[in-house]
Amino acid sequence: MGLQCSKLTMCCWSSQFNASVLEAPDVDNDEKSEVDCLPVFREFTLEQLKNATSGFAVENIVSEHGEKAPNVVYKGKLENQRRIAVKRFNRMAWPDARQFLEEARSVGLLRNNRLTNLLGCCCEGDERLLVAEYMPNETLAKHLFHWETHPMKWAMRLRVVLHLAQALEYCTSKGRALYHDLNAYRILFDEDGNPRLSTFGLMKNSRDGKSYSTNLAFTPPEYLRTGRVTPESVIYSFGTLLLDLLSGKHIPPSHALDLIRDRNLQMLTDSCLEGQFSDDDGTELVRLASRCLQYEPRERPNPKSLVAALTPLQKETEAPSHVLMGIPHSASFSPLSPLGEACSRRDLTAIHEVLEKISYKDDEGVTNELSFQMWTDQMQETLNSKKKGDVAFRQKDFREAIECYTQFIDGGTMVSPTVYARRSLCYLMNEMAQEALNDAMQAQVISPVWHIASYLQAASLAALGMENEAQVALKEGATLEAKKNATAGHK
Amino acid sequence: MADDKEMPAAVVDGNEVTGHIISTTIGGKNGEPKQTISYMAERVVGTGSFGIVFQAKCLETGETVAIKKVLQDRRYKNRELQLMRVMDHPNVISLKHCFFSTTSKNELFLNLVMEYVPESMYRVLKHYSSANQRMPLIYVKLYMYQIFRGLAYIHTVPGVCHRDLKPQNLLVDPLTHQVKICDFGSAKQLINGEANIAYICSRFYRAPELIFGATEYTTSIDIWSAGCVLAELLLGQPLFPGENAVDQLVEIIKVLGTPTREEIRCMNPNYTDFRFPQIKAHPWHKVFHKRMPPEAIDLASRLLQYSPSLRCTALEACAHSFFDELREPNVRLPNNRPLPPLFNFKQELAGASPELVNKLIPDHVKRQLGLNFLHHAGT
Repeated sequence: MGLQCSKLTMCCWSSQFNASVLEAPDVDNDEKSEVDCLPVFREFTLEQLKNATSGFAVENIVSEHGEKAPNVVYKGKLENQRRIAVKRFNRMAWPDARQFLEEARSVGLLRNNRLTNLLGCCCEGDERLLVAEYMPNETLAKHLFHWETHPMKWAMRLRVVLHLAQALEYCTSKGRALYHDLNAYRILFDEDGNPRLSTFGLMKNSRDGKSYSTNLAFTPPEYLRTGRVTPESVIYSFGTLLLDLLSGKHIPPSHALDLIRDRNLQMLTDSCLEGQFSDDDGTELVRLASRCLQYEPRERPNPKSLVAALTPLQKETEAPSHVLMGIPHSASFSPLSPLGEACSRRDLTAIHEVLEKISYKDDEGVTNELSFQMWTDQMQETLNSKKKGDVAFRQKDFREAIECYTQFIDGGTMVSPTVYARRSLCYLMNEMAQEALNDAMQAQVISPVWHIASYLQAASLAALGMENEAQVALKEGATLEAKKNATAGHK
Repeated sequence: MADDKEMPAAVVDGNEVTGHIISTTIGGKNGEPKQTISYMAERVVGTGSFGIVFQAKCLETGETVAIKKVLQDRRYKNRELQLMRVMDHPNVISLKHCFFSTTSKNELFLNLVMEYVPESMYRVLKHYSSANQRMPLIYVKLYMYQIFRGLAYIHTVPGVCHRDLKPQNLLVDPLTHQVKICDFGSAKQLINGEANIAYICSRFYRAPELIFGATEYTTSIDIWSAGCVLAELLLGQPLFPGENAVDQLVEIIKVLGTPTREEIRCMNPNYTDFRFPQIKAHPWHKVFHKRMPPEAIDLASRLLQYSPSLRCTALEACAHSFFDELREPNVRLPNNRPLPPLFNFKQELAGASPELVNKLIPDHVKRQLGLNFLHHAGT
């Protein structure tokens, strides 16, 4: 069974940053629920989550609905470098704060590597937010329906349904059998390319009452009758996911059942799967789907028997998921740009050269209201300290540069990610890695998609001896830089 | 009209617009006596790029008819005429007679004399929406069922695709509530493997594969259009009101979600490299109101499928449980009149499975027809 543990667990460090985060107690000895060093559920302040998401920047939205969705999901990064997904509910979703907290705490007790585990929540004023592990490799809907380079392999599709069944089995065993609106957008891929079930779907949105966002022809028949979701309804939705994986298209389940009854499997099957599986395997999966889609809820199988039925069907179990998925694994690197290269080698002189050359070009677009303040003495003073800092920076007098840039920053009349980046490098030169990291993160708060901020974080993290985190930051920097170059190329 | 195929197309001289009376002669072959028929044009009921349709009265019989007058290219046969001559079904408008006429400019016109039906689905829909009402569900069932029955006939018996199904081309008798598909000006017999033009069908009702420029489409494009009509009867307004061809696709995506790779391949394999806006399907409970019966939604989602081959056939649609109410014994119209004939199937059942036939003919009708029918249907 494909139960690899992440080689790049980015959470096992002893550091001064996460003093408030406790180690997860060993609650469960079950092999499947073993999740290494994931912190226990906690409450976050709104400030912390604002910082983590650069003030809920549009650039950080990762939900497929985009901005217009009632509940938006952002990606973010906590102070301790942990990548997170933050779901921000609309005002009306959880009027009762206590109910929200209780529900979140309960889901937060779950820990399993088939889930995107819930790390915490935030409940301040009108704000209701959930924090979960960040999954960098998109949704099942993307890989299955809207793939870009190659369709998902049969072996991987089988692995997805098995992992999903295991996730449901775990949730059921912990008394959280109700999953709302289970669909292909609720399954996400972690950095190893392994599918995981989003824990956000375990949180019932009390006021809304609409448990299904999809076409009603895809919802369990009892939901149409009673408007309620039962554990058996979740199995029905699992059946529709089996159809999704088999067909690569959206077929209403009632129609699919007609096709199955008429033995018209060819019409049902994704043309991309031609020759990838035997008739027996196809028949077995179709049989399982029809059992899940039984009209009578009690005739549907339970998660345990789903796992039992899917386990013997698995293929290529030795191949890691990222290989099956064709996802570049974090262990293998694409060639880096000169700056990325310099950061990975921690060649501070080379970084200095690049920063000098870029100058303040990347500050364009950072809004600064100058028109009126320009004339005040304070403004002039601020600009002078920046100018002095720049001279010192050019002459590699890093102590002097730190002093001048600090004056500029403390003046507070202007924000400049570049000044933070420069001071960060100055700190690195002076072996003040912690301060360097703080500045690199501050630069990212101001300019969320700036690759240089990530690169400097990588250099600082490496200086702090946090090699794994440094690698992640480096990769992020490289991704952002590639994206930036791509958009620049289009202009 | 005893025998369409023998019907001669007489040529009428003179300009029939003056005096609004057109006379033509029929018969005179096979020893039949010649007969003069005169029509008085009463009012124009439709115009378009094709020509003009007017309501007329036959002076000899007093019968009201609709005459579609189209410019005739002397080099070609008129396809609409060829198709209409072979069609005979209660839910398809019937051709009574036809003749040519010429004008002083020596232009040749073809006049198709058809049965007259006073209302169209378009006008019925307008009636309900102007009264701020929804069409009662029984009429939605009755109308849609007849549309599918008509489509089942034209798709299977003459093998014709209508290619312009829309509320304007669906006629309704306000008294009997009988529905008839009309305007076969775009219709064509589709032949497997032969390319057809993609630029057909009115915008709101165009199947997505046509928007993608597919040329090897099938009669399932009519099924898509019928799905749009069903949704419009339920909603009181068009489901996909696109402002132009591209916007039409966006409207569809807003309701059905972005087509998957596989669905795009099914619509037009040449378009798989095309990039689509990634929009998640709009929740259907926001598209259709809460009280909508699940059967209606099930039927709509079987008709409005991106993959043409996954759309159900017209006959399968007739057998859908949404129409079960029409198959119950003793059903009557709200005005207490009996339903129009719904079960007098003929050749259109030829290729259907025994189960499907069994579902289509209600038990009470089977009993009336006796064993003779059952034997026939089972073969």
